[in-house]
Amino acid sequence: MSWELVIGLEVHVQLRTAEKLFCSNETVFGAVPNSQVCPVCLGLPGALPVLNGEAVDLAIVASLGLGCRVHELSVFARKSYFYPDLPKGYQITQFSEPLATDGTVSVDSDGEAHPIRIRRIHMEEDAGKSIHDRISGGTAVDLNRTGVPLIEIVTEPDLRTPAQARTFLQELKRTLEYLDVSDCNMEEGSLRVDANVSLRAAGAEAYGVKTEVKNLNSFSAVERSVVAEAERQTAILEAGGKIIQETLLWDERDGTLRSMRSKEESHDYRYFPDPDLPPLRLEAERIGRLEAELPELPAQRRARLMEEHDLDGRDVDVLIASRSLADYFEALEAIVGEAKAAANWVKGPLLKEANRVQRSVDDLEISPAALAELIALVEDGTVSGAMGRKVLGQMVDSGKTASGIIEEEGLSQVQDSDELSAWVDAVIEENSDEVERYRSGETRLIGYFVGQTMQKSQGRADPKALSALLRDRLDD
Amino acid sequence: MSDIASIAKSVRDGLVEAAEPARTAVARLNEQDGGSQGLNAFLAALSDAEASTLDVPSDGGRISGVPVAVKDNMTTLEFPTTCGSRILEGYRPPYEATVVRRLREAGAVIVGKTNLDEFAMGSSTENSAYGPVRNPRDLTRVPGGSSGGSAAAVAAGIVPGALGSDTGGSVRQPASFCGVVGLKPTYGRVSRYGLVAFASSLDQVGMFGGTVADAAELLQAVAGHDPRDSTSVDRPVPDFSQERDAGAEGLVVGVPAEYFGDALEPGVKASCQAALAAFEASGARIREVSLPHTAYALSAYYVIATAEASSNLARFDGVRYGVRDSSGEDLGEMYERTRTAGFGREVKRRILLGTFALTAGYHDQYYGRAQSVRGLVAGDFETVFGDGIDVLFTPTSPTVAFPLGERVQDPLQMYLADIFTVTANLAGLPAISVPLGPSDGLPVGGQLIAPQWGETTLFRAAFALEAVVEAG
Amino acid sequence: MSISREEILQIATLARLRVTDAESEALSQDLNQILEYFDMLASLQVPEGGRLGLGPPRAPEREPGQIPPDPMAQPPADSAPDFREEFFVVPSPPSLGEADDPGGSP
Repeated sequence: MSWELVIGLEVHVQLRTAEKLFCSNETVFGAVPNSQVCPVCLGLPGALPVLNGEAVDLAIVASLGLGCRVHELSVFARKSYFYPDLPKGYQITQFSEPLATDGTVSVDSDGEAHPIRIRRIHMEEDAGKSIHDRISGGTAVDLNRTGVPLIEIVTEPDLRTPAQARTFLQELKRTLEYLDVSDCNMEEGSLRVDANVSLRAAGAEAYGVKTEVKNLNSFSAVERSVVAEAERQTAILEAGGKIIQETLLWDERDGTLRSMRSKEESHDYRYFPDPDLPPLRLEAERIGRLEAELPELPAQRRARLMEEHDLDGRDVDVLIASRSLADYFEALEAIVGEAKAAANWVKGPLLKEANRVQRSVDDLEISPAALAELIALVEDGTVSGAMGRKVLGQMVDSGKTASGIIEEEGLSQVQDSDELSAWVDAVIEENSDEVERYRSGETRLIGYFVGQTMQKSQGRADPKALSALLRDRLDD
Repeated sequence: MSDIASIAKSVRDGLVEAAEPARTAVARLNEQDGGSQGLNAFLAALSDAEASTLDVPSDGGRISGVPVAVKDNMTTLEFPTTCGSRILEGYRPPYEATVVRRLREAGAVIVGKTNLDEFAMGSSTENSAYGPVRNPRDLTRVPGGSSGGSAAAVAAGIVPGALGSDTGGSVRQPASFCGVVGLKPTYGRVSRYGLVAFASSLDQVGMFGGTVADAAELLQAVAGHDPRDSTSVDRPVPDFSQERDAGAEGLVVGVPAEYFGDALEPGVKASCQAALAAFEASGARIREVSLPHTAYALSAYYVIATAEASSNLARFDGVRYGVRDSSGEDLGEMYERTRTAGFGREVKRRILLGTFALTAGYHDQYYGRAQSVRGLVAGDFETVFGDGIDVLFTPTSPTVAFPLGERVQDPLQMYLADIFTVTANLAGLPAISVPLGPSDGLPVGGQLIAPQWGETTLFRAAFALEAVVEAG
Repeated sequence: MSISREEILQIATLARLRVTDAESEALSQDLNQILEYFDMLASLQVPEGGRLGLGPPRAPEREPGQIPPDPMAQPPADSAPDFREEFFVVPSPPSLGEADDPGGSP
């Protein structure tokens, strides 16, 4: 029998706010444990939540950017469970009346665009951190993260392959970055994913029993765990067994899934509206204003770049891969004034450098102005293109400017005929066999002589002047 | 003890040293509160030494130098806050309730924290982990609850005023049992920040006074919007006593038939009827009205209150504060042992009831339905107030103070003590209990209920009722 | 409506309370008496939905910096039953490695 894989995702995204969702503590990652806390986020008796308007705005922007309908009325609810990193014994979230519903993200897979429906987006507070291996004989609890604002994005079960799930997440992350609502940093937990996985007989309409896979800390973990879970479910069904609805924990190290079932944990979250918070009411005017001010999304950016500049579509796809790269390109283009050159430098040498040092373009600390200076020095012939790429590498490593490096190391191209003559003479002398062959008609050896002379000049010889001089001497 | 306004005036005028009233209060407290026949109204108080070295500015504010007691479910920096529970024994909050700060800023001296039913759950103050409070009017009887300590402290003349909290009558019912004035303001009038929550949608800080004027003074000191409480409402605070001398002339007083049924003790009924007759004689127009959903109110109240309580009390888990029982092996045992040993019987009973009412299978049947009934109860009030009624008059409690121990074994009977007071909490309305003529020597309270934000009218009626009762 | 002793034990587990067999007997009597009283709610025709508006009609929203964190008179360590090396410390969960997410909350 053949089975169809059905995947739905729940994505938690930390909103980029200065303050927590219900109190004003900072949200800085990596602070001293239990230092970003106050009576509210510690859940002290008598303390009360007050909603962060900035978080509401960001959640609205995210919802609109993902094509959702934002509701003028939504309600905060309490979700009850006991855990040491959940100070109040309940999480403030939204349940039956979420902030937004009915969105779509379009995913390109198998050369086709697939609309993946977003069921809902709701706001909630994060829990703290329980660290089980920090203090011997106990669990250490850090409440700095408690109350940090999140949105949870829930898709419909529209995804059909693990690769498609991964592509969806990449597209979602890119969209959220363009919307500037989150830093989407997975290592720091700003973007966390749970996957709901089920199988159904090919052609069947009803969904099968689903399991929830948790602890997915990277997109590849999502892809790999879904593959593993699909295999596990297939094996069970093929053997005539039944899937049990349960939560599974992905172990990244050995690539296995473990059941999180716990005998005493009869999950009943006992949701009810939080009586400490009146309903969230949004005026249509506020939603409309945020919609009008919505940052440009990748597709819009692509269309605009194509329209404004004479660029190849595939080049533009590279440039808009992330908002920061596209921003970089536009800033560079504004200085350089030549879109093609700017595009070539960004998608070529700059990305290569970023790749070499394993950093993002933003973290290279090469400002668009610094790169523009280098490009100008290449364009005016001070250094060759090849030398320019080397200089960029040194800029990345040393933090120095292009002109500084060229001057310090004497890298500017040599057009002076005396200097060039000396190198050419030396090469002719050292390669008498090749000179003989050249003169007897093997003129394609000119390239060899250029290379040898270049090497001697340590790349500084101006290639045009050099080849003219070489021909002059050899053709004597 | 004299009233709040006179104390403040003599302090401001320099006739009395600013710390003197507080020292007097502490001396009276020491005389009356301790020992086997003592009131047991206080869980913490200034010591003699502290009282003798108090530094109180004479120009501190509206209630300069006035000694005030605060129910021990509001956070204070200078005293522990236990909520009458073992689980918070010795707990010192690192922050202060907004109402406590406002009292201090108005010049009041907080002389101590008063005993209460654990987490404000009870109607007799017998559910305190630190022993029951006695009624100063009759030491064999309960003071009512849950703010029994505050009511007793005012009734015994230890302080002229005190703060309590009123979730279903926890200020008005003990005021009635102890023969003092007890006020519950409109929901949202006073900040709940720092009031340890029992049932968040019903809780409101209330005040006790020897007189209606004392209650008005305390409300004046603490009322007003607090940006730290999302349920506190940003609207102007009027002078609550502005209609103090308006009298009863022309006041339309509604008397809901549902509050005068069989549950009412004959002695209480007689006191109420006498008060109404005097009220009418002084110019009030008495009209019988109907609040048809009253019979359902108590059930709806207990479902909502216990549901919210079960959630509000989840934070007492032995992780960040409070008393932990670490005799168990693992986290699960720590939770269970801490909470089982830390909470008293009634609190556990209510947590279980509330948890049950919110579980998936019963949520709609209990919590959902109770919310709908809450809307109906509020609708009843809107109808009568929309129909020309200024205030409603009812008995505060169906009975006078009952003997200590009489109802502790019968939770439902205990719940029935709140039958006339829960409606104002369900609808969020301001209500006040004013002493009427006694029944067999025991205090009786009459309750006035006004429309939302109608405190000024409520006080006008309360001043007038107080005057006719005193004259009678 | 009546609640069985088994249900009481389940609810107690959810609420993290321990109820002994003897207590569950008395509790089920108490709770059933109360629930029986509550059952009058079932007899009433009620309108659907409708939220009672108490307090402000809408959640107030604060601007960044508008309400600074309430300062703590004592650090969290002072009230904590067990606080070591900057952390609140609790006994480990019962079945660590099976029932619990190493990252924190389930």
